[in-house]
Amino acid sequence: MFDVYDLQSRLVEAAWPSGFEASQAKLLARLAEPYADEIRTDALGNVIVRRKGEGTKIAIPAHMDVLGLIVTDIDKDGYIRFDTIGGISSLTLLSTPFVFEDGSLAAVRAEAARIAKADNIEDFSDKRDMYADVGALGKETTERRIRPGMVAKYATHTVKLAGGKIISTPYADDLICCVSLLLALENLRDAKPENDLYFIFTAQEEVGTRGARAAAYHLEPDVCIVADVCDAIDSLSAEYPIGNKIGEGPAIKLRDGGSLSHRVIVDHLVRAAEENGIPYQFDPMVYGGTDATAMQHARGVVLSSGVSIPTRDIHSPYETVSADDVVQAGKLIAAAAQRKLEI
Amino acid sequence: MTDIFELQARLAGTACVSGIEQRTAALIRELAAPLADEVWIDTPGNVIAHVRGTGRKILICAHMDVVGFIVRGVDEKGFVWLSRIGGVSLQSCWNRLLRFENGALGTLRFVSGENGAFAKKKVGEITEDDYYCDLGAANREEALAAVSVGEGAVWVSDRRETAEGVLIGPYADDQVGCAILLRLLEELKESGNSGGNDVYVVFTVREEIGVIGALVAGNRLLPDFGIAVDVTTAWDAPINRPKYEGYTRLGAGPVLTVRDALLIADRQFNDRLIAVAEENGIPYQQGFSKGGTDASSFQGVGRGVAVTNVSVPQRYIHTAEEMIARSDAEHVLRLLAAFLSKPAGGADREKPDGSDREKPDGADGGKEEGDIHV
Amino acid sequence: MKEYLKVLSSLDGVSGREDRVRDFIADRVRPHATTVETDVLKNLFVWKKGKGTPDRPIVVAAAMDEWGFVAEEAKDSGAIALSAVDGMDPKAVIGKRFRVAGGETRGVISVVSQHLTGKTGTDKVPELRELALDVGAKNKEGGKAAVKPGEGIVYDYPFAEFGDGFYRGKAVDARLGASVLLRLIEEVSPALDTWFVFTASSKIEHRGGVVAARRIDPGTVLTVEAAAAGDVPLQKPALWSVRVGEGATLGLKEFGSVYTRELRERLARIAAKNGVKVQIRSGMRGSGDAGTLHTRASGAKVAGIGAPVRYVGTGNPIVHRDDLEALWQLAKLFVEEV
Repeated sequence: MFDVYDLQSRLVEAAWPSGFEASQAKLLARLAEPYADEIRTDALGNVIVRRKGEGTKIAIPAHMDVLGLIVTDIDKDGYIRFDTIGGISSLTLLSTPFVFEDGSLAAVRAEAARIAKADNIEDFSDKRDMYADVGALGKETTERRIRPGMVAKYATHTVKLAGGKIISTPYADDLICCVSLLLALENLRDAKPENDLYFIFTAQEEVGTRGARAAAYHLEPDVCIVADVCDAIDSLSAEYPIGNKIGEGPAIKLRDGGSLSHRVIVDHLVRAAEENGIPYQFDPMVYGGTDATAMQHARGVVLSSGVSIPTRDIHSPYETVSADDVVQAGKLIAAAAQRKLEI
Repeated sequence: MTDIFELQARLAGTACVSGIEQRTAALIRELAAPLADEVWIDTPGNVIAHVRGTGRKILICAHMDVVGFIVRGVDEKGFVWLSRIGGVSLQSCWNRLLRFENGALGTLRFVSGENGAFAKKKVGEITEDDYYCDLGAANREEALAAVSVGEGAVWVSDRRETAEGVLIGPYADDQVGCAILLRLLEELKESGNSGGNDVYVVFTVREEIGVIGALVAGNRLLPDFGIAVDVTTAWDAPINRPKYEGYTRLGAGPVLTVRDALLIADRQFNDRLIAVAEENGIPYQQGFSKGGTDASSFQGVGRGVAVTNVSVPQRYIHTAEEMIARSDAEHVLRLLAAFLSKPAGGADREKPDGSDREKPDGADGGKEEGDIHV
Repeated sequence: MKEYLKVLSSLDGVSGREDRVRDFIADRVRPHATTVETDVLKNLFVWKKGKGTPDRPIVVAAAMDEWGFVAEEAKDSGAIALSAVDGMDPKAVIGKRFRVAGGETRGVISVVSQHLTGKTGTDKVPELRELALDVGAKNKEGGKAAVKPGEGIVYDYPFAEFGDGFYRGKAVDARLGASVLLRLIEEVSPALDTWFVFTASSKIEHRGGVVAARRIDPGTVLTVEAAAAGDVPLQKPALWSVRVGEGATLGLKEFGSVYTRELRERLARIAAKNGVKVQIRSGMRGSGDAGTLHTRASGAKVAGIGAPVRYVGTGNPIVHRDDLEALWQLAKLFVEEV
């Protein structure tokens, strides 16, 4: 029996940023394999898990890449200069701990010159004047372990809050949805698929939904049900006026920054939820794209919607979700995948 | 003998903020008990370990409290509002995990405000109402079942030591000082030699909010010499670079303070320690700091005490990822041990035979009624 | 490499109007290629049979289009309004000499409104659409007679060798990759069947690349292009990206691509084994065809190599012959050994 906290922690420890997904891809393939009819990996690293069925081709992507840093330079005193992979704001970078591929730990800091010039918090935290210090004692010692091109990820870990009901973790976006895909696969283990199902752990979403685009080009699905996170605005740190609440069920996607969901698919998801007693809300997310965007633009017509997990503080080193929302999402994805869909 | 960083790791599990040092004190007392002639906890909560001698009275201290937060209150949504304890670096006030005294966990967040108002605030304008802690509680009742008003909280962050012996992690300030002093006690016990000096190793409380514990200890003990073993800013990271050469660096040895925010160290004492360092081949630096330590609080007690700091250089003080070098910690230990191995003698201005040294009424430095005995 | 770079960079071809370049290259490669094809967007596809056949197609690509403008209508003053390709920097073109593509009519870019004189706005950089080409016409008729709308407008700085082994010239940056590809087709027998793709419209959102990717559906992509070098006194060393004199460049990441580490490391190994100097390109703000080529079809592994070029996009880019030679060696090794 898959456990949400256990899976998320394992995925977090295995995951590396966009373009460097080999480690989490391997873990996901291994976890999914017992539930797959076919499983393959493509040139970009997408892991495609098929449950064979007749009829409508449904792609169910969740991305396995995460945000992070890539080392660009090591200066003469051994401090590391970097660029971000994916959208980490400068404010989020400041003072945040990262772990590099060799295990080195460093918090990102701002240079004295920048602090002296800064008027406000935003000013203070310009990415180009930041550096990472792994315990620099000169250029040579740092270069023994760190080279340009190496990547780093948040050095935070998955924790349980509120007696285990709530999980706060790096990379709920989008590993928690990889978890919901695994839960769905587990739920469908003994079923005979009524549609032709492709669960895809995609690569390079955070740098432009690239894996999904290539996967859709090749696969030519009819429908896409994307599993990604959506903004929960039930906390004081929320930055947008529109969003969801955690703990009130998975959210059926109406739109996101790059795609509009199709009524047919939304209705399909709603009926699947209601027929199976699964709680749900609607995801009206305005900002931010998902793999659905890419799949809609890849090749032919792809009708889309999604099953989203409301998440607080997306893209921060601690993203917060309700464990039960994830369990319910697994059930909803399975129910929707299984309910015969005629286009 | 126990490794300094290992001792520090043990202390990390008990870390708590000024005023809530009890768990750390209990652990230190337990560890120190077999190493000194007497160990007790005084009224404010300082742990005092006494290695008896007939010579000069030397007080060496490190503080047990760390910077962090305490609970101000809980709102109806279950969010926890905090107060900073000590000079918590603002940059470490969001996107972090906190552990409360009784084990509850929560994430620190900033209040984003209308249209990204937070980011546009001036650094000096940020108040305690701009950040809060999210326990994941559904409402006030659930939150209050997990934490109480006045409860302390500290950061949770990874610790790691590099191959070159640089330790990155929280609470180096001043748990490394406490670890060094515990090791010093081990060395004094093992060698049986404290130079005949009357040594008081004091683990103080409430340093981060006004060096209060040390003041009490200093007042009671009225030492001749006082050394605070703390951390001090290493200026060698790009965050900090001064314009002159010879500033404090990580890995370049223990730092003898010339001046800090609260103290101009006793020059003759510093010179004496420099001589000890040079005699024993121990590297040292002379430092300037914008912070303060316990030493300042007892410089003026009784008839005056010759005080200085012997500090471990540290980058990123008061953040959740502080950075110190193993070699510096070990050299601090070596310097203290070397200093104590010979009689401290008089401060230059006193009569060399010590005949001017009086014991003020009722203050012999020993245990008193009301103290917690070992 | 000098002759290749000279002859290709001297041809005129802004984005969307690469005909002269494409036709020249097509004629040159015909005797050496197995097939030569083109498409509606003016991409050029050259296929060379190798000793073996790869599982999925291998593409080595470079762009053909250079920086410049497309002429619009003549204004009343006689100056020609301009439409810029992506990535043009208004600061870099003011006061520079331009020429009508394929012709002899020359002009200087000025500004229409008075941003550079007067008390207000002396520091303000004009926007691209405020720029116009002064062809020395006195009025609108004169302007119309000199330049037709739709003609390409290119920098007017001829190729030259100067200083201690440097080359400069109007499209030394834009045609760097293409010149390497041209020589590869003429001189190298590939280990595996290889597509050499000269893309069009790379400076208009990489449109050529999108179409090229779908035509071929590559499994491996290697792009060859200029790598902007910031090693000038005005720039902080950490932001230099690459340095002149340090060899061929290996890209890490840019706007469209996270280069596949495995490929990059293989290239680094090949270079080390053969004594070819290489450096990591740490700058990530560029955008080349690699992005579209490796993601717009079924997906491909991707790497980007180049040579450090200063003053990219200014009409006077410069590259050092040793770095260009290192790039040539690296590209040759890749095609021979892949």
